[in-house]
Amino acid sequence: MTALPPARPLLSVRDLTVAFATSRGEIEAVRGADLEVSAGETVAVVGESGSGKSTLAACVTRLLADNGRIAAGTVMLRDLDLTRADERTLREVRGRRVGFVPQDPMTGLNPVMTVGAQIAEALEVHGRAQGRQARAQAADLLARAGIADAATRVDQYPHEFSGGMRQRVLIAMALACRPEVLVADEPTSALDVTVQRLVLDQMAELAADVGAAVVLITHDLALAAERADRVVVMYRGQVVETGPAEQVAERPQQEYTRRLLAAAPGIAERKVSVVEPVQGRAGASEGSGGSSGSGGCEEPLLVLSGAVKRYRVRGRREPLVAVDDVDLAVPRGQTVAVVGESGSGKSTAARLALRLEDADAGTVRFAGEDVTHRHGRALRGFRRAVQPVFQNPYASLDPRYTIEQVVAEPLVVHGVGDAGHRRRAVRDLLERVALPADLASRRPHELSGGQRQRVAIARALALDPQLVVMDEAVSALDVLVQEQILDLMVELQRELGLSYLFITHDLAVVRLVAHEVYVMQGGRVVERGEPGRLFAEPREEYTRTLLAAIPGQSLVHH
Amino acid sequence: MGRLRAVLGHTAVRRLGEALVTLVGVSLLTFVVLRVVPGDQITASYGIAAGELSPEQIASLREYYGIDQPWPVQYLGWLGGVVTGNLGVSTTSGLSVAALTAQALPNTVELAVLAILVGLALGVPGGMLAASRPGAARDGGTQVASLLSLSVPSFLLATAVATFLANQLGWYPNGEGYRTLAEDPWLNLQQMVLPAAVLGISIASPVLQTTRTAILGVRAEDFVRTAQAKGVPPGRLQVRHVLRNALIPVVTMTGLQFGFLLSGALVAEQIFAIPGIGRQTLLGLQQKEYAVVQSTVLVIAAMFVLVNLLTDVLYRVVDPRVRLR
Repeated sequence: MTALPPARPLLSVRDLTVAFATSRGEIEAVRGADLEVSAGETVAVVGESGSGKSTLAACVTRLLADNGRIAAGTVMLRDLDLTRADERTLREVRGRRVGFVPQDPMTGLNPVMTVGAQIAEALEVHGRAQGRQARAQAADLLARAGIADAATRVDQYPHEFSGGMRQRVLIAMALACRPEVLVADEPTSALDVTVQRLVLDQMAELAADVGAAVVLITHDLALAAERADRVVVMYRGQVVETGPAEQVAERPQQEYTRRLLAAAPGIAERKVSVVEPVQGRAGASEGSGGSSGSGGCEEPLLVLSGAVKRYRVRGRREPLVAVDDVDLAVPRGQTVAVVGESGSGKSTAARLALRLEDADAGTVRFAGEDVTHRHGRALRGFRRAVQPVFQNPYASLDPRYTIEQVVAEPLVVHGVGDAGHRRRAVRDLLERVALPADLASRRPHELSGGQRQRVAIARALALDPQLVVMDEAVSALDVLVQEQILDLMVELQRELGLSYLFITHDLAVVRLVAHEVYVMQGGRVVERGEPGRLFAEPREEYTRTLLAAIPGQSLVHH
Repeated sequence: MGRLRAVLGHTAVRRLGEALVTLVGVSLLTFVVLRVVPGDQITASYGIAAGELSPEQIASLREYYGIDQPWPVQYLGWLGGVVTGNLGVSTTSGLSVAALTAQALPNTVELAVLAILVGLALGVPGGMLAASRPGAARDGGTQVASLLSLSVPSFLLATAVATFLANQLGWYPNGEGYRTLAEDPWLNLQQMVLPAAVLGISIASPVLQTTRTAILGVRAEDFVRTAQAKGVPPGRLQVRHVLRNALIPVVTMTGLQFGFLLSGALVAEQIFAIPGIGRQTLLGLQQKEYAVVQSTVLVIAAMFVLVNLLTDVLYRVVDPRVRLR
């Protein structure tokens, strides 16, 4: 027996440069990147959007967008150079040797094929199994990916599954042929935190089961450090730091890594100071709402009391109680967060508080007045004083408007000022949210996600509101951008005395900016309190589950 | 009360209700329009001579044609007949409208089915070809062809086809009277090919555009990339993932076109002398035979509603997301 040569890494990316042809010439999305993955290892690639991490991942399956090309470097899968492989070879590699889990489970599955057929297809195209046998294996994979009752579920269509379950289907599909490498591109960033944790656990388990190494692409350094053996940090197309997960998390060498770490909401410092609970305030907020004995300034800005909302569900006799006897109060100048998973009723509660929907029972009081039954003209003052900022900054700005038109629109709608006045107002508002004035003539597609969210905030501020409702407004953003927006929120609150109603599934973010937290589950408020207290000594089991799901808890030192 | 709401809430029942409302609306509109337009069956039958009729003669003719009654009575009388299965009688031919329709409708349905087949056979592959390389010559070529077929009026195309293909090249069994499919299948098909092609060409254009747009849209979807990432070869990717999804809007489109064709391809029926439902309507209008027009339009509307229902059913087959609702 001859001595074995030193083990060649399973996957090795060397000096990879990827260029995209754009209208402004060629842009290099990845520049000279190196990455090495050994068999059975989990390597996380971390960076903000635009750092090139997804492009790097796409090179492993050679599924770059049409305008992209590998300009230099090699991607070796054992002895096979993927950058030189022809389409036929690549098809054999895809699915069989490299599994891929896409980012968005809602759009990643073919809506007209059963999930079983889609998993079985991976087996069929690689000749692993056919027909009934493939279907049986698909059911087995589905069960192992953590889907209960897999034998029946296998014949269902994607729309019959929740986001978390669809992601499990995609994981089962990617691992069906027992690939050597699993590339997961932000596999859980579209999911609730609790679901995220479970899905990542199951993915790791199944990958270990079939013996696949994992390349985990994420923007969350805390999550990466918790899940991976090694971490590779990317910034503007280049690898800036690489090392064992613990080392990168505890002794980051690069300034950029330190910033990423500091911005990770699970780890970062709180941005607002604790408000001493005023005696009797709780009484006013929880009371029947009729106790107007307390003075005008004593009463919170917005009070929702005894709110109930039921929805009729087709095919079910009993209506769904989306919001069940919820009391909620937003004091002036403070941030109140409502936290819960999808279906917890948090968004419905917010919609009731905003009078976007009518409650079946309960009252809404704003600035000391009962607005529960106001409609049309009588509600206009309320509409001006309460402004929303939505989750998706890509969808909430009209692509045909210039930024100036976007920001000025509330002024136009409410007939405030003349054209000159509005122009000045827009300039002030853009300055307020720290955007350069020359952005006014641009259109939304020319802006980054963070810039767009700033525009959305500027628009919300145009009418001088008292309350701004942030509906998952930072959930779609990268950690660094998220931190900037949170800082902006806090700053505006200090300067303008704004109140925020902050709706989110992410408890970690809540800790940073909220003065008070309401935890919702199944339409009810199960726990409320000051975030410091809530995080330190959660009283409810459900709150504990939510807390445990925050990535990076193990890294918090203080 | 709850029970009643549950029954009314049921999709099928609600659909049926909507269909009834549509049909009553259509019949009312037809009824009123027919009577508002100047002239009636008397002027249609006697022409200028109608002016020389004595008031008594006119009164008795009006009674004979059933137009002496007030409008509501006329309408309810006709509607009562329809409900009991009597669509009325054509006074010029002496045949019942039901009998006329039973002859004409199969011809129209056959023509519509053939035209749709031609439209799909041209439009779907055309759309696939155009979408296979957007912006390339084949895309431009199919776009121009499709635009051309859309902008040439069907009467012009039909006339041109009739003149050149039928008369000069003899591709059409001239000199033979129309034979139904049951009477002489071979001759019938020979007679149907050209009109079906003329109609099919004009349907091919929207089908092609819909297919092309849908394919391009689907190809950009994430799930196509998922399929590629699991190693699905191009042919299978194209058929099982792209085309299968792209067909959903094509089904809607085709259903709509089919509905229009059933209302009688008047021009094609006229030029190629096919005794279909469109010609029946036209003759009824020329003769001012109110009962014929009203009943025929009602039948057409019913067919339209029926095709829409069928499209919905088919839609459920192609798109599992709609099945549950």
